[in-house]
Amino acid sequence: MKKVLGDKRALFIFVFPALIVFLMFVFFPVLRSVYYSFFKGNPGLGLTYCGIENYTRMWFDPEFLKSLSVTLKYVIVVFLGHIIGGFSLALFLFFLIKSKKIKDILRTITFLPVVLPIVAVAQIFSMMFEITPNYGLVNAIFNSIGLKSLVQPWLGKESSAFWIWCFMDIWRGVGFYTAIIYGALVEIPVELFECAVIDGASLSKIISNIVIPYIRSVLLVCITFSLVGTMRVFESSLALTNGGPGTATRTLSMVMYDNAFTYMRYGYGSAIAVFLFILCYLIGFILRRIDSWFRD
Amino acid sequence: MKRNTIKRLGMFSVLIFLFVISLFIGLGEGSSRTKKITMLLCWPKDQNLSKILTDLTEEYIKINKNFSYEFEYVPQSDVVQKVQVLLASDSLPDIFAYGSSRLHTLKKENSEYAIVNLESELKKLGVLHWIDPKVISMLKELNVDKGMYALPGGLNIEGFFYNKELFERAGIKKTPKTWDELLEICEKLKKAGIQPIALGGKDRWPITRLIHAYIYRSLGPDAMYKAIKGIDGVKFTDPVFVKAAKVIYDMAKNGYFGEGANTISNGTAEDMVLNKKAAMIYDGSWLLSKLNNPSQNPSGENIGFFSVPLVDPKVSPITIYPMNPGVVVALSSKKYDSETAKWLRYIVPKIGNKMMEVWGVYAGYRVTKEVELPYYSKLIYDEVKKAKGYTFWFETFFDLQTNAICGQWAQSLMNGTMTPEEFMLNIQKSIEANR
Repeated sequence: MKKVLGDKRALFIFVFPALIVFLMFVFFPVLRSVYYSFFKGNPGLGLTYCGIENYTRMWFDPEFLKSLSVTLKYVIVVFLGHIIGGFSLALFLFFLIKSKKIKDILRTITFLPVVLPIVAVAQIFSMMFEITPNYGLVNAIFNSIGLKSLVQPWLGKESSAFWIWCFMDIWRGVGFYTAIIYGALVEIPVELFECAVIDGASLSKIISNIVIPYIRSVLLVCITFSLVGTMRVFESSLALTNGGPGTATRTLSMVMYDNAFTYMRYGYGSAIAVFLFILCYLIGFILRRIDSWFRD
Repeated sequence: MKRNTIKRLGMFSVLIFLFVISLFIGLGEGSSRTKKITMLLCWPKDQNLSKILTDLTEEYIKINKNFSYEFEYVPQSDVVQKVQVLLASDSLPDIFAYGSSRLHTLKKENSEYAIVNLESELKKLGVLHWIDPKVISMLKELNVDKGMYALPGGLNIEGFFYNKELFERAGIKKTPKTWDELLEICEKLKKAGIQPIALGGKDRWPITRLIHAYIYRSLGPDAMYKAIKGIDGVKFTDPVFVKAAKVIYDMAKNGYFGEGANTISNGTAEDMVLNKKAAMIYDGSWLLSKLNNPSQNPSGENIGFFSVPLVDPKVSPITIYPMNPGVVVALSSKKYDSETAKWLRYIVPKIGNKMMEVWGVYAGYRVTKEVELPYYSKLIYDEVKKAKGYTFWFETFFDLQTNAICGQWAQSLMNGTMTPEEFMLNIQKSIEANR
């Protein structure tokens, strides 16, 4: 096997099909987007070169700025929810649940929302927070316990719709991070914990001095996944609130899509896509630097 | 031996690669001698105009065996985007549904349309007279270049549908003639514990339709056009426009739209009226499909219709209705040839009768057969006949960005997080920025 993989021709043959698919569907479209971002118009109807106008314009576009602020707020909330929630749940399962059977059941339950389709989850949440024509679960509970002031259109108000959307995406994603972090926890040698317990270390000391340093690389992977994934958020908001009410849940990806395919500003939409790409790349780059800094 | 293994693996990889590539370049497509058209429509195959067009095409195939078609359904909310994506890759389908006021967005850089000018083409084929002249003038008015570039998808008329039983329960004897009477009725219904109006704010357009209703009844059917073009110095920030937004804002504040209007779709709002959970809805004649279906309409013949109440009858009398030719059907000029022309000549004269027979709907095409119409189809057809003039809808002549974004502002207006002044000012600013 070593000999086969050491053969450059063999490597080329193995990598070639995947490389072609990657170039066709990832690399060239990105290059094409960069190219289009310097033009105005629509590729099917004709393009006009406009230099960096699309890039300067976004900083004066209230729709872009508003969606950028919504996206960043969402990224912070959901990213923290994913990582803190995933880490806490993994620790809970690892340290506090002794029975393997219960552990397995709880791991399955936490992972279940990850495999549900986004549209189905959004429908469930829509129904849960419904007020018209019938009360959903949440409003029905508030109504039945006499908290009538809390019976309200949760998804119809800017102030609450954003937080329900964040909650839904944290709930949907946290199981994924729990599974990854739990997998890393299992890999920590048991002797380390035994020594720490003999030395009288508290749980917080064990977590900060053993667990976190040991699973640092896995945590960084989770942080990268969560930050990049949340930065590109599109479908969950579309399915739950369609970006509304008003612009409360309208993300950068939605503005990019609308500009390219609704407002027929293909170039400007491409410029927003390139901006998003750079933002995601920067996050990855900074996290890699942090990782290497910790390693050194 | 190992070299052989590498060779075999190599051959296998190349074969897989060629297979994948062949899938993308479409090896195995049918013979080019036969004509195959692609229809991209926004109604499922067994519904509305899709059924009529596919049925007529199948009839046509019986007399022209070399002709065939492929049908693709895209929901109405996505059809414009889908066509835009296809246009971007220069692969428009032969026939496709599109927004009636957006056809100018299918113009190439050299100002030529990527779609067929149907007025001249249908005239050449001798079938233009099969389309209602009123609808032809609507289609031309909706196009910025005043040309007819599409077939009508219907002839929609809009107004208020109401539940007679709920009106009776609240002691309301007659439908409102003026906007003030409408507000009085709303108050009476509310006091009787009945939600006055069901509004699908989640879909956004039902909110702007109501604002437009007040505007065109106050300033006339061309008020929106004047404000967009700045004719006679008309602006969206003028007091009457702001008042229109304020009227709807106040109606929301008074609870006339019930709780959480921004969370329900227009479909749910329609069901609320048909199921006696709300008394009125501003809607269009597309509601006929539900009204005529007993399983969807438990109120039977207890649903009535009234035109938008008056504000200033001198500028906008009761015979002026919001009307439109629906989602229209355009033909790609690149794909259009003599075979498609023959098909077009065959189907156009038959659409009107077929729509009447199958759906009981007058779709803006000439009807030559006597058809016994269902109760609600007759009700709507009578209203269409009463119309002496028409206006379109709030966003008709908006640029693409203002068109999309004003619905989001309308939701904020409903929630009270945007004032009527801010709402109209935002529209004015957006129109000016995109002019």
